[in-house]
Amino acid sequence: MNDKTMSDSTVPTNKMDDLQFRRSIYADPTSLDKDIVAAQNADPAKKQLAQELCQFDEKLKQAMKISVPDDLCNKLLLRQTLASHQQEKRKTRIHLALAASVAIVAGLVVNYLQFSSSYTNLGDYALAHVYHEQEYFSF
Amino acid sequence: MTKPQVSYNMATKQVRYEALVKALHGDLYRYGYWLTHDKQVAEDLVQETFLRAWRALDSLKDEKAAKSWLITILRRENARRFERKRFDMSEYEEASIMDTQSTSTEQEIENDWLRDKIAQLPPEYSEPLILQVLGGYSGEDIASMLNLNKNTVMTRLFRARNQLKDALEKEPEKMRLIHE
Repeated sequence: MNDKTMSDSTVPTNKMDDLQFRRSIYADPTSLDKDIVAAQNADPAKKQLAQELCQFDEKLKQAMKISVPDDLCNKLLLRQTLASHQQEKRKTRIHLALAASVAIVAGLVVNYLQFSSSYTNLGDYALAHVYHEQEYFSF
Repeated sequence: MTKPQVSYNMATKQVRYEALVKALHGDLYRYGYWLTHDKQVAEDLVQETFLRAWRALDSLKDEKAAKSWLITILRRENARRFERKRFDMSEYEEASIMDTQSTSTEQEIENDWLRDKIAQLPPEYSEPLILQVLGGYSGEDIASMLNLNKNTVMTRLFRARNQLKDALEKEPEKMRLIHE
């Protein structure tokens, strides 16, 4: 923006013109842009304007700093604690449901294995296995 | 994930959250207040904002960006408030925005006068000004937060200060606000 205006200017100077300085300093009184700082150093009136605006900004800041309710911080923390407690409870319920489902499936599998097999229990099965391989025993 | 890992994460999240609340709730409240001109609405907005922030806390990677992240959430919440319900801002409301009960000292009277003038600025001018003066953000930061280009932001900042200065000039007894 600055460069364009400067190159358009017929005056062969690299100083900012007054209007441009005004616009820049009003937009940002604390600007550290080198053109603005140079313009301020070259012209005491500009420097004064900049200082005035900085002071004005300080006043604005004071005015904008309205008082914050004392209990707001605690309220925020409380609401979050309640919210995450609810979430935690929901999670616990989900975990419980998962555990119950796993238990039911395990029960069904055990049932299925027990009643579908021709052997009624693990002991019988083990003995049958031993009898089957009897001929390979060395004793 | 093992159980201790989960509770460890929860504990860090809690600590981060509490630190965020403590460090930034004041700034957020003030920002909300200047957006809405209503203390109660500002408080509700801040609560909503922090609740959302809690849910999305894992997506916040850079702690330095926390404030602008929260401001973005707050602005979105505020926009949502308008989708839900249209508030008509009457002249009466505009004029009675400030509470005058605490105007005791001269300083306070000046502050109230300034607040009144800031509140009367069009929102598109006051918002960048508040971000700049109160939030300490640069023109580029404000431009990216408000989805505007930087020149627009600088023009609005210029106009905001210009209008405030004009208001000052109309009331000569307030001129020392800027000239002392």
